[in-house]
Amino acid sequence: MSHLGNVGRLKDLLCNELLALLDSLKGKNLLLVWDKPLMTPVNMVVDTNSLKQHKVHTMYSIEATGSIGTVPAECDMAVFLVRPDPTIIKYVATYVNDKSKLPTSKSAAIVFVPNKTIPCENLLRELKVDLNRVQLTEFQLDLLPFDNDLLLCDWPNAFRDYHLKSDISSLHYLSRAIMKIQTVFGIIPNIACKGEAAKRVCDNIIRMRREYDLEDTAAIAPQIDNLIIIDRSCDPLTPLVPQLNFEGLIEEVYRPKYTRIVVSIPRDNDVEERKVALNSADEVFADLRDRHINAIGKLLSKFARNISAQFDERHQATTVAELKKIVSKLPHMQAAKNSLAVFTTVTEKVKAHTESDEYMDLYECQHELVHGYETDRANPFIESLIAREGPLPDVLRLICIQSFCNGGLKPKLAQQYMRDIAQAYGADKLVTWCNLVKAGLIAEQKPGARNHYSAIKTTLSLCPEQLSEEAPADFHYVTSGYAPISARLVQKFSQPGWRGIRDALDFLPGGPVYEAIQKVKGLRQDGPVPPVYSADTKHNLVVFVGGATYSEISALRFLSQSDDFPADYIVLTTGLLSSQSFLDPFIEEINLTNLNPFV
Amino acid sequence: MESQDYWSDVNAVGDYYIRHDNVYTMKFVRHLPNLNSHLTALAQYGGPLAVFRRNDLNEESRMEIFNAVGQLITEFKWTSGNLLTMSWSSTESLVCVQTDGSVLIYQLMGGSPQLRKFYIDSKKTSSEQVASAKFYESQFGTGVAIATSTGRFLFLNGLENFSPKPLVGQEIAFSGSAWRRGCPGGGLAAGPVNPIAAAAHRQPEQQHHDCYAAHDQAEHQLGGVPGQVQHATGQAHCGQHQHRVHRDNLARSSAAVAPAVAAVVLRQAAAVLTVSQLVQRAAVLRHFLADLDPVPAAWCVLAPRPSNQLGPDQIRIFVLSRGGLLLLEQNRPPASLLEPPPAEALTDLCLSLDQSLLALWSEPQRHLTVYSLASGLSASGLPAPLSRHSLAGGPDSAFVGGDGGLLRMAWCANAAVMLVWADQRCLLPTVRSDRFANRLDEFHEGEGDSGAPLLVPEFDGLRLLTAERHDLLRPLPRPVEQLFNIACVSPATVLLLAHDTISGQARTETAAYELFLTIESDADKLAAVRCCLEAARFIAWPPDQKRVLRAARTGLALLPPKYSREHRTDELCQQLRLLNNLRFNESIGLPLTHAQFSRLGLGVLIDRLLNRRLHEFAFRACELLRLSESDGQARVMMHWAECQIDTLPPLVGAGVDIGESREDAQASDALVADIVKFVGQRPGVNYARLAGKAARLNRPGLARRLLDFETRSQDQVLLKLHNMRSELDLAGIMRKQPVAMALYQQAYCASDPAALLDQEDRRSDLAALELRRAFDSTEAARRQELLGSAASRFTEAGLPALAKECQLAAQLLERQRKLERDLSAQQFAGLSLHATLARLLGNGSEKLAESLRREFEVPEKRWWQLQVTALAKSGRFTELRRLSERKSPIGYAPFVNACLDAGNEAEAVALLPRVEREQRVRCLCRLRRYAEAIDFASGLKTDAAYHLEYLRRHLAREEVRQPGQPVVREAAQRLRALHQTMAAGGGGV
Repeated sequence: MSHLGNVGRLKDLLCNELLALLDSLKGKNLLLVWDKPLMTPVNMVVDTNSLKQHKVHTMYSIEATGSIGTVPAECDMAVFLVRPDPTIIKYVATYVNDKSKLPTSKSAAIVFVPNKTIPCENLLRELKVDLNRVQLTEFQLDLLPFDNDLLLCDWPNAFRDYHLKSDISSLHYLSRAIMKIQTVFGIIPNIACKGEAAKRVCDNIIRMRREYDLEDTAAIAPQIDNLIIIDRSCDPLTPLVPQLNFEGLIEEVYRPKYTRIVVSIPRDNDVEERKVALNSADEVFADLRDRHINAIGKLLSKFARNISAQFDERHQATTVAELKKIVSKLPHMQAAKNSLAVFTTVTEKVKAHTESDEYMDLYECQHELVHGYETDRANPFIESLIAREGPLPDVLRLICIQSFCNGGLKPKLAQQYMRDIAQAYGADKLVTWCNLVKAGLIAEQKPGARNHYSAIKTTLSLCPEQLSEEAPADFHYVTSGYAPISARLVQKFSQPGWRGIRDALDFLPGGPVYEAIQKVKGLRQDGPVPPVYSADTKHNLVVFVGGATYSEISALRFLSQSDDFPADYIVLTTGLLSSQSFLDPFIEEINLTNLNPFV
Repeated sequence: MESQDYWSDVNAVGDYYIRHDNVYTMKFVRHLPNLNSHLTALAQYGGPLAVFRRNDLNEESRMEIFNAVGQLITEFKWTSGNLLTMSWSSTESLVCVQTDGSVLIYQLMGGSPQLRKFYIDSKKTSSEQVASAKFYESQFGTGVAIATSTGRFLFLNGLENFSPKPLVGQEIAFSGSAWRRGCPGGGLAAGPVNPIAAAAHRQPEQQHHDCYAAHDQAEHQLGGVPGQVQHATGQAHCGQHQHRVHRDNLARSSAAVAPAVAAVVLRQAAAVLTVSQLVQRAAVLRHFLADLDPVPAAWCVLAPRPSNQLGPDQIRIFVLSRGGLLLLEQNRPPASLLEPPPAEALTDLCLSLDQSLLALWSEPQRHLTVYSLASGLSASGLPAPLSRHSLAGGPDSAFVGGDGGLLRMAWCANAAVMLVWADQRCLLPTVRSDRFANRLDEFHEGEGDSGAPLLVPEFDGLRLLTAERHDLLRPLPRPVEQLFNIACVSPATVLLLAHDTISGQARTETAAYELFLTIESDADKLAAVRCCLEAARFIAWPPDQKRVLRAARTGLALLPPKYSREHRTDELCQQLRLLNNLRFNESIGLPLTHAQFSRLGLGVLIDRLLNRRLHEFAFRACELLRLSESDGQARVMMHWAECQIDTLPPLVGAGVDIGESREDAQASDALVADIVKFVGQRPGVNYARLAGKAARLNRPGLARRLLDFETRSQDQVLLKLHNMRSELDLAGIMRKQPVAMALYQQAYCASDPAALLDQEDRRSDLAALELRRAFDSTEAARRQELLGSAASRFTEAGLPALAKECQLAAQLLERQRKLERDLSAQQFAGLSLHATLARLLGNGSEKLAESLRREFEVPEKRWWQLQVTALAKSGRFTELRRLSERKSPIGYAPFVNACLDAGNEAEAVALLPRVEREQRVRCLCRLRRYAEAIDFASGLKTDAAYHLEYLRRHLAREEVRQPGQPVVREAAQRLRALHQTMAAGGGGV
């Protein structure tokens, strides 16, 4: 959706940071030891070839089992690329202290991603690691460029950590990521935020700007107009509602890791496992990703027809020139054919999910709740689901939706649900209930308080009447009927501005609305002229504190394609959520130990 | 100072033209008749003048500090000991040396001094005092060297750095001597003179190491002289001095070699003793030394500079003693530098500022000899003199100097040496020149009896200060000389002349144009411009500056534009403007030449202004010269804020950490408000530093307030932690900082969460924690107990609903344990209520289940669902059938589903007729009776479309899941046909 188009520069920035770090190390030939989970994210910014060009000679990875071998003779330094995780640190410390593995003539370096932490340093000291020989440094991998318009600051549990543990570290990293974006795209003049955590991020970046003293270096003309920061707690509804756009469903069903999924494609009598990276580089996927699942079938068949038509052209080719043209198109056609096969399989699996009886029943229930029908009394479907001991996450999700759409549950209803859950699933689930209450996902209505949901629903037109899945006029198609609040907020920010929806903003939970302006001083006249900046299209950076769903991202993409108001959106989020994964961190698994040792 | 006669104040001295500028007419308010009667110190770079008025009978000693124009900056009572001498350091601190070895360092604005000390009161004698002190500039800052009354030299390099091991009291250790004096018996001078160990003079138990080193060296240098020198103090009799040399000390040398050599040895030893501490240890030698100078006549210090590779703990000293010149150096024997010794007695010496030239004066011969040190010092002594002037009278000297002894002597920028007598002054060129062998200069111009001037050498000239005048002598740079010299016609002169013609009243442009024409080439024009710019830098008088600057601009106008870009005059103009302001604003009185300013740098100049508390002026200067925010204005602001904190009145309250009195709090608030108002949040401002200062001054309240404005969170936190006095205080402050508190709790939670939460009174969290712990416990009784306490915690936290649930959970556990006892070999504890009931139903203990259900008030619908599921799962279909005969509040579809889940299709089919219409299609689908389902759905009066759509989706899914099933395929085909007919029939049922 973004025509800013040079998110690649962020990638270069990060890539150069790591390569410069490697260059600065003393060693001439490096042994690079990977902390396995870091491989995919780091590889998103740096490819193996560039690593090889920057002194990396051999690479090992730390597996869960088994130990890694000695440093090869050619290497004079071992570089550990690790997370600040005590178990990994202990492992590294043992390796470094082992003379047989790392001879005294060789040195080592530990590169912490994304941050060196004091506990880790202390741990290293405790383990008697010679810090004169082992260099400690950090690679601040604060953001991963997922796509041209999607950046990830990888803190999947940010929302939980903030609300349950008051842990603000994710906010710090997110702020740092925004600073990085600002170093590439210039200071963003307008900031708008909604929610407490968003305000904190905003304060952080204003403060960091002062601390880094960017005044002197801010020679880049601003290329992004607005920074819109939205705290997840202002819109906890969207991630609770299952997504029905293609990419969102893939998230729900496949749970991709760093946009990569494994698809089993049936081939002859065999099944081929194929790793697929989901991004806009794939033409077919780029076209499908934001569509409603019911529109996918037709599109796929259209693609199939196109490709077969192209393949058929070769029979009609008579001259050499025509043939040559066709041959040159072949690789492209082959790629399209391959991805067509992949996404057909994916669609089948996704459809099987959405068309199951259980899914349909859940959908109906949540549809009613979101539309605000009879949200103030016990929902019979929820009750029967509990009675059947249906999946607890679904039960909780529906209760959370009901709570939000009713402006909090009535105390009696809350107590009823709580008792139902305790009796059906065990009293230990009360801990989970407490968590959800603490995070504000389940609220109890205060006596005399009004339910503002219908006001919000009207002002933000959350549930417009007309719905077309194949040629939508509005982005509420992403969940079949509910338009994500956050996306509406972003839309209203551009037109007519947040002042026009002040009431709705105040009714939304999560905290205050705050707008700030960053002055851009000291812009050099002879500085680089922004290459793509035009006055017509406003460029926006939308930051989701606590994660975003693909339904929101698709909605924003829909917005930037619509002609009403020319705007581009880049999304930065702490994680990608699905209706499944949003509540998972709150559901506390308590190991129910056997109380009777004799049985 | 008129522009027309610039040359009239220029004197030719040797090859140089020396310009004499009157900088100021002094404005001393209190009359100072003669600076020579007080102890004074005038700083370089137009710095301040310190005058020490020693107490007369009934008055206290006072220190007065004036600026260069004679306005009083500050004064204070002198309460310390006996001041010997003083000087200004390179950072404009007043360094005072007392006779007891204390060094007091005062800031320009007074205040309490820093104290450094030379420890000279050695164990046995307390009579040792500082006899003289010299100050020098080294690469480590300003240094002090002292000579004590017993002839020791001590030094302190880098006075103002807190050097980790100050060199105070370190003695210059030299182990041999090569000094000979020009005395009778100097015939020994021929041939190299070998040093011998001075180790004899040291106590063996003190200086073993030195002794051995010295012996080795001595032996090596003695060469042919055999013998082993033993350590002992000794006496020597030898030569014309008739002193005894101790047998153990120098026996071998005196015995084996000619007595003459021994005499040399002795004299060498004696020379050492003049500057060593050992005098006091050997009575005989002390006697022997009595006829030498206990303190050298004159000396100067060769400071460590990058050029001479001396380290931070090293210096070299030139000493004049008994007319000879010695070089003292650490760990080396003293070297005599004049070979052969000069015939006359040297009485004074003077080293140029850059340490490249050394001038020696002899009295009464009145000879000035100048040596160049540029090629470095060698053991063989000084090179041939650069020049030699005699003031003793003779054919080429018009001047014989003043009466009495020479008072002062100083270099004027390597070009000339100024000699001052009480009544006369004389400027002698560095290099001997035939034309101007020496030249008299009358600087008084008959202004009365102000006495001999103070001399302060600058690197580009020499300052002269009397009670009436402040003058500056500077050799003219070549371009300036070319511009103004009467005898010279250079392009620059033409340019200036042409410019004068244009700007003159006559306005004869043609004449000017013709003049311009005479400068032909661009190179000449450029040279002329450069010359004028150089002159503008040099000239001190603003109208003259303007004149040459305008000329330069005119010249630039004649050149191609690229040159005007290269020669930016605006920056120079601004600098000159600043310098003129500094000089002519007499309350500042800082007369810097442009050359001095360039060398000092703007940063240092700002520092000096700040030292004088001229914040506003400094601020404007930064603005004028566009100094970057952090180097300039922010620094000024910081200094201002620090001064504000410094000058706060003392605390009214107790001054204890937390108990801050109201007045103090108000004062602090007001000050912080002031500071924030003026200083604001500019880059480079560091509130943490201010807070640190406040904390050091024991004002924690102020520090805390200031810290709130610090942007760098790291500084803020570190300082805060540093200031924490106790754990209690820490928690108290953290409670006001939610973020810090959260982090702290997180860190703390790992070790003992309950204690922390209890302390912080977070009841609901504490209750949840208790609940978690209950389910973590492995023992039923313990869990029950913990659930009880969790319940009371929840009640405390105002969450009665959760409390009730906990009680119920505890109650359930109680029942379960009872059940376990009653129905042996079955486990119940830990199960949910549903699971317990299901297990009971599965066992056939319906009665128990029923009573339990009633106790826990399981609602009707859930109870039914529970029964259906439990019965089907445990295969009790008879009971299930019996149940189904009653009226079910949940309908009968759950029965069918439960049977199918349990794999009993027959039972499900049997129950099918009881299933209500809305659920019938679904149940039929589950039973795979698709034909029946289609018939049923299409036969429905209402909702037929919904159910048909359900069927369609279900069939489609089945086709994907199990492709090729004929039942499914047929049903799907039938459904499609039905859809088509319905569509044809006009839009469905």
